[in-house]
Amino acid sequence: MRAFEDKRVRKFFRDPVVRFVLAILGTFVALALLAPWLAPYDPMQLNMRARFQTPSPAHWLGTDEVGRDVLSRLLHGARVSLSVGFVSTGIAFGLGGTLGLLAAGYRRLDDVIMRLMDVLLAIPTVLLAIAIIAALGPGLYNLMIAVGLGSVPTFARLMRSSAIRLREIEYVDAARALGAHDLMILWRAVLPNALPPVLIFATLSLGGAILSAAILNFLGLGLDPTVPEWGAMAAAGRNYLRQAPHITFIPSIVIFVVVLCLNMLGDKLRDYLDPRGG
Amino acid sequence: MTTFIVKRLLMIFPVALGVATFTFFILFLTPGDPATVIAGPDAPAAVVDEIRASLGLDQPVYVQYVRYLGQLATLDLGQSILSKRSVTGEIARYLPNTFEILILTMILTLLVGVPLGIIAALRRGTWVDSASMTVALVGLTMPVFSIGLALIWAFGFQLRWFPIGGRGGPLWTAEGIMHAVLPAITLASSSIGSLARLTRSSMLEVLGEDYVRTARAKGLAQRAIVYKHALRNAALPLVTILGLQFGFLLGGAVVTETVFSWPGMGRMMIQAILRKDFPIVQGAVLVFALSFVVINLLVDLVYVLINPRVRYG
Repeated sequence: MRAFEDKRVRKFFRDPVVRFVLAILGTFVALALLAPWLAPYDPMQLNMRARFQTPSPAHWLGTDEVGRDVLSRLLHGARVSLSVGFVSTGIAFGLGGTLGLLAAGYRRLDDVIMRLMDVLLAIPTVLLAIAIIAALGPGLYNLMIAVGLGSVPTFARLMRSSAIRLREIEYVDAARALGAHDLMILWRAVLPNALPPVLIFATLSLGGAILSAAILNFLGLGLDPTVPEWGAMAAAGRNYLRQAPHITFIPSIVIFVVVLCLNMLGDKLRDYLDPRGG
Repeated sequence: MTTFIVKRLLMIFPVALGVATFTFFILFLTPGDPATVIAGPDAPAAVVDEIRASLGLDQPVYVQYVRYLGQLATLDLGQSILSKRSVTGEIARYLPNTFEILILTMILTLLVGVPLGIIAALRRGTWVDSASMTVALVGLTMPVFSIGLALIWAFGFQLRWFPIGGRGGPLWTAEGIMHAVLPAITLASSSIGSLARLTRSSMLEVLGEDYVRTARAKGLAQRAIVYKHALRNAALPLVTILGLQFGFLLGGAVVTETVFSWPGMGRMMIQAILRKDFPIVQGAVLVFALSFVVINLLVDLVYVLINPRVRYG
């Protein structure tokens, strides 16, 4: 079993598409980490004499409506957008996964948790995130929490359905017969085997989380508009679409490329690692 | 089948109650006090207290909650803090505009998404397949607002074919339809993408079935095979996904309406959030969630009606 999985993982990493996509994503992560050293200008520095400049040797990607360097903002924005994507997916995965696992493990909790998740699932994800951020107010952490909580019900449901199949399997019975504690069984025997589909879904929802965050910022509900963030940058260019479309389109294209890569990676991961989906 | 329908109809009530409870508490947890917003930042404490008492906000939570549910039962969603108009009235004014866009989007999704998927499945592995799936993927991945702004830039500013925002009137007028075209394409782009991908995989699965081979063997025309035998069976999962898509569309509608200044409920909600007009936000979230619940109910019922296996089972 182990060797079989190792083989599939190796095959996954040998796929040229996977390598290409990983290289692009790796570059974005590196750019985000090195942004303070790579960015040619201060991303917050206003320069009213250099407004609306199209790409040039001085400003590779031009300047925005208040003369800030678009490239520098894009690089710093990568830090914000990627960290919101990772942290909020982590919140959804951690909280949703735990709830789903508990629902699968304890029949008494099952009804309570899943009915609550049903109610939340009745509210479309983006709307749920909007409602939560409306309640929490703007800010980076609130943005992460809102986007994360928006996907908790989906993760909970997936983890429950993945774990519940394992409940009656022999090695779980064996662990029970040996007198292992319920929580221990869930943690040691059920979780590792229930995890793969949930992990694949987490990769697929990373792109979704980055998109949701960009949408909330575009709507003006997330971060302070001076903070460089891809969605907010696209929104800022909206009123100057006629004279300076690059302010909107450059961040849009970057969001598109990153989300596309993440979705392709998730698709490939499913093809290679999930025997049912593949 | 009747039992299923009755059961499914009854399930709506606990979910609706849950959604109402969620919207109540989300408002309750919101920092900032509606009374302060109404009174203004400089109002004396006595005035704020008076407003708070008149709104019943000085009562314990459970009293407020029970009163809220009581009001809901009579379709009373309270009144807007800023305009003082009834929330139900405001929703009744903006909701039809949102549905205009949603219906147009659904039609576009079906008209483009399904054929795109069928063509890709029939020409599997050719450039037609790759081209249509690339289009689908772009629609799925591109942020809604980027698509909207790109369309405004291309067809509004450069080509000047369509107006760039606002609502022109009812959909049956030329002006009305011209204004609705770009918002509908924007909103439809992602659902076209997912429907096309799903139609393709669903068709490919069905085209490999024995009954399709039988139909081919008895010399049926390709057209009859595709439309009479394959598509009808491939359509079942599509109905389910259309219902789920509706939820995505509601979320997308909020963005699309904001981009195109379309006077719908999504834009109303965002403006209310930015102005801290809580009752409007609460009402809008509630109505959005309930329409999703109702659509999913309809989808389940349609599924029963078109699937003989469930109908006679």
